[in-house]
Formats: sequence, structure tokens, C-alpha cells
Amino acid sequence: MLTLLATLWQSDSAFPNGAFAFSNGIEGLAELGERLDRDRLAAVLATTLTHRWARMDAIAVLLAFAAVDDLAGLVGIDSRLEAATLPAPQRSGSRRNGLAFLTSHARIGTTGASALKVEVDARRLHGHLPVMQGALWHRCGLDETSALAASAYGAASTMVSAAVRLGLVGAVDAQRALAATLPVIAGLIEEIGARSPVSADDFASMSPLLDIATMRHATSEVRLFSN
Amino acid sequence: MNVAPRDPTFRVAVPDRLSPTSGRQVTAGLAFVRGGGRTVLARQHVPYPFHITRSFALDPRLPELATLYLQSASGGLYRGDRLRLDIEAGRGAHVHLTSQAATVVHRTPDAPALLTTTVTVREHAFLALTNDPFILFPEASFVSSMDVTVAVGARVIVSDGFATHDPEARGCPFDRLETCVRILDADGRLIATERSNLSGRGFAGVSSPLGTYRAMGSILVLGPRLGEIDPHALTAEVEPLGCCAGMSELPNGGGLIIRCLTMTGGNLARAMDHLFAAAFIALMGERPARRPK
Repeated sequence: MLTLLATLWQSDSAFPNGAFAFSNGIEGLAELGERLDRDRLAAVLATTLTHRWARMDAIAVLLAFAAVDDLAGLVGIDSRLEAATLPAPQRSGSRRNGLAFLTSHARIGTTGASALKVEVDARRLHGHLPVMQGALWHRCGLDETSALAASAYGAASTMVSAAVRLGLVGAVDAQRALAATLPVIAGLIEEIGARSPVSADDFASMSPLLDIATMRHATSEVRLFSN
Repeated sequence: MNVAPRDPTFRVAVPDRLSPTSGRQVTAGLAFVRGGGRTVLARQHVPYPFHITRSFALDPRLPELATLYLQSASGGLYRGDRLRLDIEAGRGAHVHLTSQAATVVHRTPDAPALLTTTVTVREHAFLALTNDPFILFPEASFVSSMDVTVAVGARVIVSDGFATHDPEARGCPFDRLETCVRILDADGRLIATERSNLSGRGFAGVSSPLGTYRAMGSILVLGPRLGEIDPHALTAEVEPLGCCAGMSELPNGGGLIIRCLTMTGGNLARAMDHLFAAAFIALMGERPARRPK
């Protein structure tokens, strides 16, 4: 029961994890002329989760979860994630979101968070969000499957929230899109569980439209979100 | 969940499911050096199906730059091919390797075509490797792996592009596309890496990562730049070509990446030519002469 409650706590939008500042490409897609109604938003969520989250963030969460007591290991995973994230707005967004998440845990007093923040402040660690999530959620009592679920749900709900705040889709249709995404998340986590052992060599991504959207958004004159 | 024991080495992206008995297994090598104010092809091993033209001096304001056309003499890539190309630009050498036309990847049942490329660019050398797009035919599986090693002061442009063609209009997509690019410094330290994997069904589906576009390309622009590229101007210039493009800084100060999407392979080739010219100007300070094709 504690694992479930800890997962709900970490997935709660009231938790100050800094995600409110990021659209993770939604604002950029809108600027490209994408009409993000319910169905298109659901398709974008499925694309992002399938072609980026499952092959990049999910692996980083798992590796960091396993390396929670190994600072050198976390630094290695974090630096490989930095090298594998080619669009700069995605790198900076992941680092900034990771720092906000880490800062909240340090203030709450989560075991190990303050030590990690020292490393980030000293620039020995980039502090990418999935790496911080994997390490700190282990400390919070989540298991690996719950950590993956919280990570995927957080990625999807951040994009859905951004779409609503940008006025691209109504709140009810946004929740329909999010509900339609839950089986996608479940399927991806099952696939990950069935994979052969993963390492940082497996970081992969295939999201050219989302990449271009975030690249162009970074130089937009008017924008609501950081990426 | 499975996490591999940590291994500090980086695994090479060669799939282990290829049959060792099917297809061609060929390695080619090209080494360029600077001498007498020119760049010369000092060493070459170019067995079939590779073919390389002689060197052309196409850029009057850059007499040290040698341009050569690299092509497949066999009409494309076939089932089970395991082709490898090693290219080296020696200290101060300036070379542009391009192609005369797109490369077709034919149907490859059960045995993907594999192309491995290594690019080594020594101190203060310039190397551009800009092939026309690969055209993936129905049921084609293609694995492309590239390592780019960049020394201090070296400048590099590397592009790749992928489009599809269904000659019988059967609505049958390619099978799978896998790519892996690693950028390393001269000491072997990883600067940036990108691995991708896309099925034909994923490419053509409603959740395609290309959106409604059907061809994609990337250009890496590495090393010290003589000038900057204005991202707004660049994206505006290629829009009339039906190209949606974006540009960003690579990690670890490695350089730039330019991505582009188009509806057709023809538009992609034209857009990539334009983007190459912008990258070339940024690195070399001169507009490249037209490369006749």
C-alpha cells in the first residue's frame, strides 16, 4: 500500500516538481500550425511516449533507480543522457525540470536529495529529470514499475496541461486524450519489462517533428513555456 | 526490470541477427592528405559495389578543397549487405564527398542491409559527407551506423536523409530503419550520440513521429564556425521548398544539428542542398560552388 501511496504522491500535480513551466513541444507544435484537438493530442502523446519516453527517459529512470547508491554511476548515466539529447531545448528543459524536482525533494528531506543537489550545484551532475526521478523515487519507496508509470504519466500530463493552458483543447477533451494514453503507457511498460537488460547504450529517440517544434520554439519571440 | 551490468565501453550498433552468409561483405577505405596547397586522395581501397570518381576542384576560391562523388555501382543496397566505408581526412586536408543520386534500399527479407561508416577528421581538416537521401523500398530494412571522430580545429558537415518509394503502389511500407551516429573527440570521448529505430508501420501510422511529412533529414555541423547561421532566415528560406526545418546547438559544444522534414524525397534533396550551403558558408566562409549531378 505504501508503494501505491508514494506513487500517487509523486504523480500529484500539486507536488512542486516544476513541470508547470514546460510544454515539452506542445507550444512549438502549435506554432507550426498543428491543430491539437483531442484526437491529434492523443496521437502526439502516443508518439512522444513511444518514440522518445520509452527509449530514453524510461531507460534513464531504470538505470538511475538501480544506481541509487552509486554516485559515479549516476554521473555516467546523466552525462550519457546529455550526449544523447541533441535538441538543446530538450536538454535544458530536462535539466531545469530535474533541478526543480531535486530542490523540492531536498527541502522535503528525501534521503540523498541534498547530496545530489550539491553535485548539481557544483556542475558535476547535469541533473536530468529522469535520472533524478529514478534515484529519488527509489528513496521514496516506489518500485521500478511504479517509477516508470509515474514518469510516463508525468510526461503525458505535463503536455496535456500545457495544451489546456494554451487554449488548444478544452479541459474535458484533454482528459479524454489523457485517458486514451493510459493503455499506451501500460503497453510500453510491459514491453520494457520484457526487454533484455538495458544500458545507456540503448538511449534512442525518433521524434523529428517534435525536435523541430522545440528547436523553433526556442527562438520564438513570444512564448508561455520554457520549451 | 532488467538493467545491464554497467560497462564503461560503448557497444557498436551492429545488430546480431544478420545472417553471416547472405549478402555482400565489403570494406572500402579512402584517405586524403594535404600537399602542395591541394588535397589529394593518398590511399584508396574501393572494391565493388563502391565506386569513387576522380577528384574535382569545383570551388575556385577554395583551391585546397577536393570534391569527389561516391556511389554504389550496383543500383543500391540489397538483402544482407554488410558494407563498410572508412574515410580519413589528414591534417589540413579539405574534402567534400557527395553522391550523384539517391541510393535505393531494396527489399531485404530477414536480412537487413547494413552500412557502417567511420569518418576521422584530423587537426584543422575539413570534411563534408553529404549523400543524397536513401530511398526505402517496401519491406526494406536498413541499418546505418556512423562514427565521426573530430580533432581539435577540425570542421565537419555530415548529412543523412531518408525517404520512401512504393513503386507498385501497394501501400506497403518499408520494414525497419535503424540509425546510430556517434560524435567523438580525438581521444575517443563521446560528444554526442543519436540512435533511432522506426518501423514502416510506425512511419506511416497516425502517430508517425514525422507527423504528416514523409521524408526526413539531418545535418551535423561540427567544429569552429567562421560565421553563425540565422535560424529564422534558414527556416524561412527552405519553407518554399516544402521543408519544415529547425536548428539547435549540439551537446558538449559539439556544433549544430539541423533537422528537416518534407513530403517527398525530391523536396528533401533540394532542401538538404540548401541547408548544406548554409552550413558550408558557416564553416568555410564561402558559398559552395554548384555540385553538378
